This record gives sequence, structure tokens and C-alpha cells, in this order.
Amino acid sequence: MIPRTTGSRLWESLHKGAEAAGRQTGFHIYWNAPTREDDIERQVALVEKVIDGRPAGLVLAPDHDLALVGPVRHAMSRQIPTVVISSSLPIQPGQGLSYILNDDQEMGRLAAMQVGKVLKGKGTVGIVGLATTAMNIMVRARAFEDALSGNFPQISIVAREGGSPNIAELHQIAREMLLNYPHLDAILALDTVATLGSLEQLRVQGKVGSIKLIGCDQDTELMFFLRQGDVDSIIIQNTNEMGSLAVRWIAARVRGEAVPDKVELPPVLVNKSNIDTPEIQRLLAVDWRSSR
Amino acid sequence: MRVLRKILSRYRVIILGLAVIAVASSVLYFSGTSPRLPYQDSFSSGRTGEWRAYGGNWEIYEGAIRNLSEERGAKFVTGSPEWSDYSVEADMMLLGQSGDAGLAVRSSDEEDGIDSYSGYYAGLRLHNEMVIGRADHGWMEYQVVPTGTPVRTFKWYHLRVVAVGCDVAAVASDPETGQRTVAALREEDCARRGRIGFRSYSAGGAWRRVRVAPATREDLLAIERGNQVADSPEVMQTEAGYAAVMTRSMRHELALPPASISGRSGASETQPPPLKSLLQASEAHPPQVKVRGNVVLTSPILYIEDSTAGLAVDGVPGASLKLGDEVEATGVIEARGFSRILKRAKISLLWSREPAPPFSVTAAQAATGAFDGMYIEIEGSLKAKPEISPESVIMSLTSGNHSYRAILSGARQDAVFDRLLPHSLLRLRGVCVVDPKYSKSLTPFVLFLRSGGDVDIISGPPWWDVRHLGEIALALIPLTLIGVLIYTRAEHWRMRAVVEERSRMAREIHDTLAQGFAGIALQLESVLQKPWARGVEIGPVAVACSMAQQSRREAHRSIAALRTLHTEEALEDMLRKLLQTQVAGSQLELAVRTTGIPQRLSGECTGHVLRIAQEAVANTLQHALATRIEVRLVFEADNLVVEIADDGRGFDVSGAPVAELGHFGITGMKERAANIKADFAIQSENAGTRIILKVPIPRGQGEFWHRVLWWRPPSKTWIHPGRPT
Repeated sequence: MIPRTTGSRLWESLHKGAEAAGRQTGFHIYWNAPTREDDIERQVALVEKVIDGRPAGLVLAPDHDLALVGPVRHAMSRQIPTVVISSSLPIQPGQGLSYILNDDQEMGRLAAMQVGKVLKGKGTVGIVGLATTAMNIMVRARAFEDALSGNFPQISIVAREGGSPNIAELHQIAREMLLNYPHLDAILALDTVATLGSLEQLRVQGKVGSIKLIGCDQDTELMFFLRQGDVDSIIIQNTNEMGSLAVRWIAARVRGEAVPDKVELPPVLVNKSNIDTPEIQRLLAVDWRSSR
Repeated sequence: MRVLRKILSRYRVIILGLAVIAVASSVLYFSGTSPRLPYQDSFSSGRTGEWRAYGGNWEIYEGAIRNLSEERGAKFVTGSPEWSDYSVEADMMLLGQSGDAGLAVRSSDEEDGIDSYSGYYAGLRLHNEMVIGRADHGWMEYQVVPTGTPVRTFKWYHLRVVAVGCDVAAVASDPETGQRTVAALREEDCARRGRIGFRSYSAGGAWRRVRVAPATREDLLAIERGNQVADSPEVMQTEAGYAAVMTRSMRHELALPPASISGRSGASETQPPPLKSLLQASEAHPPQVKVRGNVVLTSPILYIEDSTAGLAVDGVPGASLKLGDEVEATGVIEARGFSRILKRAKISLLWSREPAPPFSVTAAQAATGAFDGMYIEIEGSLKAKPEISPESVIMSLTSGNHSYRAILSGARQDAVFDRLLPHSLLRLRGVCVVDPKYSKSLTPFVLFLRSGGDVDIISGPPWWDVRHLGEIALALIPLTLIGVLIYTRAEHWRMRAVVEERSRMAREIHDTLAQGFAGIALQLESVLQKPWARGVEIGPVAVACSMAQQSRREAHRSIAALRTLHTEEALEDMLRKLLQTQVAGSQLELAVRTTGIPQRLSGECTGHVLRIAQEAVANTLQHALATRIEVRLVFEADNLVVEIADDGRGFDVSGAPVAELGHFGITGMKERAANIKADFAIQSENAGTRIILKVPIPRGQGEFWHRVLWWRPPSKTWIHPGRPT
């Protein structure tokens, strides 16, 4: 199981789900990933190493939509059951390949509804983190724009800024956006790094709270900042279920059973009012070792 | 199997000796690579061969080892996987603005990756916490303990971790205040042995004076006493539990406000110019500029880069910055060749960042100067072994038509450089510099590496280089000797078996056929000598008697040929001995002569030559009424010519009896000649008969190795041992 990186709440929740399913199905989970989400070369090398080890199956959260096509096709050619999670690759499912994805359409729609709610249907929004090589991020953005224009026509998107897995670059992007659009009412940050970078710049410019920040994907620090009120809300993926389901699908394929080609798991919007509910806490749990 | 057993039996002493050497070498090798307790390293030697890096950029600096990378989970590991109950302590410094750094114990199964090892880790975390937990290719945090006083960067702390049984306890001390912070954990199913390691998470770090010693439970209790020992990580693994700890530690502040290195602080609000624009700066009137970039090199000179270009920054100690740090610099731009350098610089740290990935370029692109001062990745073939000195490691490389040098400045010499072989294909990461001060105009550019981790071996040298061929040749010599030895022995054993079988057949012929023919001949002779037989027509009996005597002689000749022995006699001697036996008792004079340089024939060939000569002499004795027969052996370069000539009455060669009529003599000789690919001819006239046999001698067959190895094989020829009975 190779997520985009490890050591973050987003992916350790995946780890927890996978370990639990591994214990149930009798599979050992090899768990490793690059130390940075932009270390594509390292992820490619890890996938190739795993393939050489002839595993029962491969679960991958690709760092890049194009660069990981080759390694995944290699795994398929070796008849290794493969489940790509979180975001899809430009490969049709089948021939041992399945997808367990986040419902990014729903994530964009939830974000739009939350922006409309906090701005009371009127204001300006900037989007940070548009990564043209990550299709799932672009789907989020498109769904956000569609839902926003459909439900809140008086809210306009005035800034569309790029993204980067490198926090330094993201910091610069957010800085420039805030300099160019100092009167923004809200920011939608499309991933963890974009959310952290935007929050950092809001802090630097003393605009925390006055510009509402809606983020995507869970992160330990971000959750704490949400509790502190610095972040309005964060829409999280159900990576716990992704990990569990992926291992169970691999087990089913090994048994010769059919599994679906693709499933999309619904995201959940977390804010101060629901973060302490058992459901949210379960989604954010990372006690993977107790699952062994 | 029998052959194998004989070999094993004969060479058991040699085999046993080789086995002892192999075992002793293995013991020496493995005992030599695993340090023993107590262990210490002050890094004063400048070598880190006993350590292995998993991620990070590690270098020795002023008696300490430091990781300048903010890579999460970078590890530097040493020790024995068998170390069990021990304490490890070291001075430790954090270099970054967030994250933690500390010591790993009982580490095993390490890989590149954030928590990719099995073991325990205790460290100081920015800001103001001590952390302890269990790593098992994932992280389980057991305790986060407030330090009481702020944990600061660039300040030495002392950290001691003790692991005894399934307890691990750590104590961090602030030498200035005497403040001690303790964290401890206890596991039921614990990791019981493993190596030690330095580890940092985002913060980078420096370590010095590391000592490892066996520890007892008293050592453990001395730390644990009066402090809480966590026996479960559960609180830390829930978001709410973590938030509670963070609230307690007031970790909600992000990175510290920008720290000033040169007295200034904070980022300017005006957008600084891209670094590439500095190339157009006036050389006549060097302007004062303010630029911004990320640190890509700290030694031997500070380099920063943005997305457009890189820039050398002079006058700022790189040791105070880490790779990836985002900084703002002011100074005067000065041109140096194709490079620009910021002189009299002042620099402000804006943000502590992870380094950006390198640009992947070719040597041809780097040679244009377009990537001067930028962090690049490039491939090259190593020209020669790296030049390793206490100050630097220098490698000369080629790529296509371009040559360049890669330089690691500083004292650290990673073991990776010792492993590099000439003509290996390498992938290197480093800062491309075209400044003639560093390239010395020997190559278009030099690549400044940051650590041994910047070198990847794509492939080793081709196997057919001179050294490898020499090694293969050296290895082949003993293998060839062994092969020849085995072949010789096997051939010897085969020949003995053949000899024994032929002797048995000779005995059988002697005891049955020869004795039978002798008996028949004796009985027929006795009939012929009866008085009543005189004057009686008993021609058929006389013929039968003659045939029995002839058959007995043939049987004896077969016996003579079959009864063989190994000999190294020359062919001439063998012929003389054999034929003398044959002509003994007759009036026939025998002469055997040799001209030319005698060469050794194969056993098969010698046997056929002997039998042909034997048959020729027999024919002379029976039919030629000759007084003399001469056998000449003429050794030519590629042939042996055997001439057998008598002075008998001769015979009509065209009318000679053939096999169809029951006469096998000449036909047999021709067949034998054909078997050894020899030319056979008979010339006969009234003055005598001459048989000419021209036997080809394969050049060098079997002789090459004999000559090379100064080894003479035993002869494979057989001769008559004496007069048959």
C-alpha cells in the first residue's frame, strides 16, 4: 500500500483502515510512501520495488496522474490485482484494476454550499490549489464553480490560483493572491498544502477570520486550527474506508471473486460544531497499530 | 558419482581447507562490520563508514554530524542489529523552525521513508515538547511531555535514551538551565534489539559525541522514577486527544516569526525581482538589489534560487541556514564570468521550507550556463575513482561530449564514495556552478553536491573493462587447471577400465579359441604322422591342419594386440619390439628406422599403425619368401609416413584376394587406415612389396594444454607385452 505520503492524518487514516482489513483477511500490509507528495520519482521507484516483490495486490494513491500510469500498467501486466485510491488515473478499470475514489464532485458541491452559507449568498471568493495535472482537484474546482453559480449567483470567483505540493511555492501563490485581491471574503483551498499555505498568509497579513477559509482534505494541524476557529471548515475524505475497502477488494480478487470497477466514497464537511462527534472522530482516527 | 567420490576423497584436505577459509572470512567480515558495545563516535575522523543514511542531507561540520534537510523522517543509523539493553546519549541541536529531532533505539528494517523502520524514537519537538513513541512502519506516539522551557533552534541539548526489557525511557537536558524532561513508554509486545540512529522530522538537526553502552534496569529506573510511563498510545491517535495535547503545548502558532540573521527581519512588501533579471545588471555600476529565493547550497558558499535562476550570496555563513529555507537577501550584484554574485550581502530568513525538487537537465544544457546556481539533477559516467581528501570529495565525470566535476565540500566522506567504480553511470543532484573561481575553467561547470545522498548509482562499470577481464582470466587459470586435472584423472580411469577389459578378452581368446585351434592342429598333425597315413590321399586333412595352425596364429596375434599396457615408449621402439617377436624363429631380417622429429600419436592411431605393420609382416612371412623387411617411420610436419618394404617375390596387387573370398588381410589394413583417415597404398613387383601408410597428425591436438601446463599425459598406446603363450 503506497499512499501519496505518510505521517499525515489523511493517509494514516488510510493506514488504519487497511491494517484492520488486513487483519480480517490475513494479509500483511507493506506501508511506505515518499516523504513528500511531489516526490514522484520516489513513488515510482517504490511501486516498482513492490511489483518486483510479487505482492498479492497493490494499493496506490498516485502522486501524479500521468507519471504513475507506467508503473500501474506494469503491475497489471504482472497480473497483480491493483486498486488505485483517492484519485483516478487515465486508465480504464478492468484487467485487475479498480478505483476507490473520493467523490470530488460532492466535495466541490459541499464547499460551495458552505461558502454560500458563511457569506450569506454574497461576496467574492478565491480558489487556491488548482493543479492541472491532478484531475481530482480540477473536478473539485469545477463542481465548486457549478454549484456556486447555480445556488449563489451573487458570489463571484475573482481569483483562480495554481497549486503546488511544495509549501514554499504555495505560500508565495497565496501571498500574491492576497496582495492582488485584498478584499476577498472567502478562500477555497483545494488540498491540504493549499489550505496550510493560505492560512499561513492569512496569519501574516492579519486576516484570519475576516477572510473565511474553507479547506479540503484532513490534516492534524488543520484540524486543530479548525478547532481554534482559524479555519472555517474542512471537507475530509473517508480514507479510512478507502484503505479497508481496498484490502478487502484485493482479498476478493485473490479468491477469484469479482469486485466493482469503481466506487466513489462521499466526503464529509467538518466544522467546529461536528468535529467531536463519534462519526467524525472515527474518520480521523489513526490508531493503525491497534488494528493489527 | 564414483568419480565424484574419488575426487572428494583425493582432495578432501584442499576442500576442507577452503571451507575453513570461507567460514573464517565470513566471521571476520561480519564481526568487522558490526560495532560492539560500548560504542562512541565523535565524528572527528571525518568518516562515517559505519553509518547509513536513509534520506536527508548529512554532513560533518565542526565535530558534529548534521542533517541540513527538512525531509520528514530522515535517519542516520549505525550499530549492531543484536544490541539489546543499552543506553544511547548525544548532544543534539535542532536547526529548523518546526518539527523534531532526536534518537532512535532498537532500530531495524530501515528504509527510506518517514516512519519506515521498526524501533523507538525520542526527541525534542519545536515548540517546547519532548516526544517518545514506537515506529513500526508507521508511528504510534506514546507521550508528549512539555519541556517547561522553550525548545530553541541552534542550541545544544543533551538527550539520553535507555532501553531495557520492554521499557524505553528518555531524558532531555538543557545544559544552560539544568532543566530535565522525561518521557517513557512500556510495551507488551516490544522490539527487543536493534541499532541506534539520529532522526529528524522537518526540523533537520545536528548531533555530536554519541555514546552507546550496555544498560541495566537500574539505569532505566533512574530515569523513570517519579515520572509517568505510558503503556498505551491511544490518546495520541485520536484527533481529539491530539488536539488536547496541542492545546496544552500551545502549538497553534505556525512557524516562528521570521528570524533575522543579519540584523534585519521580516519580509518586504514589495515584490523582489526575479533572479534571472540580475543578469542584465550593470557591471559598470553594480546596483544594490533585494532578492528572494530558497537556499539550495550552504557550503562552500551560499546559493539561493527561485524559479528563474540561482545566485551566489557572499558574506553570509551558510551554516546558519538550511536547505530549502526561503530567504530575502540584499547586497551588491557583481559579475564574475557568466555568474552573478551578491556581495556584501545581508540576509533575512523568511520561512523554513522543504527543499524543492531539482531540475533534471543534461550536461549540454548545464554547460550553457542557463542553470548557474540552480539545483539540478544530471547524469554522468565516472572517469576515475573519486579523489577523497579531508576537505572535499571530487569526482570527474563525462556525459556525451561534455566533462564536468562534482564536488562535495566539507569533511564528510560518505561510504558511497568508496563504493564508486570508474565508468559507473551516476545520477547526481547538486548546484550547478559556472563561476570560474570554482570551475577553474577546467570544465564548463562544476556540480556542488550537498551530501553523499546526492549520488545514485544507475549502473556499475561495464563488465568487460580491463580489470574485470584480468580478474576473469585469473579466475579461469585455477579453474582450467582443476578441469584438466579432473579430465586427466577421468581419462586415466577410463583407460584402466579399457585395459582391464582387453586383458580379460585376451585371456578368454587364449583359453578358448587359441587353445582349441592348438588342440585341433595337434590332433591333425598326429593323424598326418601316422604310418598308415603315408601314401594315402589325405589332402583335406593337411589343409585342415594348416587352417587350424593359421587360426591359432591369428588368435595369438589378437591376444598380442589385446594384451596391452601403458607405456611411454616411442612408436619406433614399440614397432621393433612387436615385430621382432613376430619374426622370431624365421629367417626374415627386420629393420625399423625413424626419420624426422617423432611426434606423439593418439592411442587409437598408434594401435592401428601397429596392427597394420603387424599384418604386413605376417603377409611377408607367409607369402613373400623374403629375406629382409624394413619399416621406416617418416615424421613430417603434419603426417607420419609408414613404409613397410620387403625384398620378396611380390604379388599382383590387382589380383590380391579380397574379403568376399574370406581373405581379410589387405582389406583389414585398408579399413584400419580409413579409421584413422590415413592414405593406404600397396606397390608390388618382382623385387618386393612396399606398403605406404600416410597418417595425418592433427596439429596441436591435445598438445596445447600439455605444453602450456608443462604436463605430459600418460601414453595411450598398447604394445605386445611379450611372446604370447
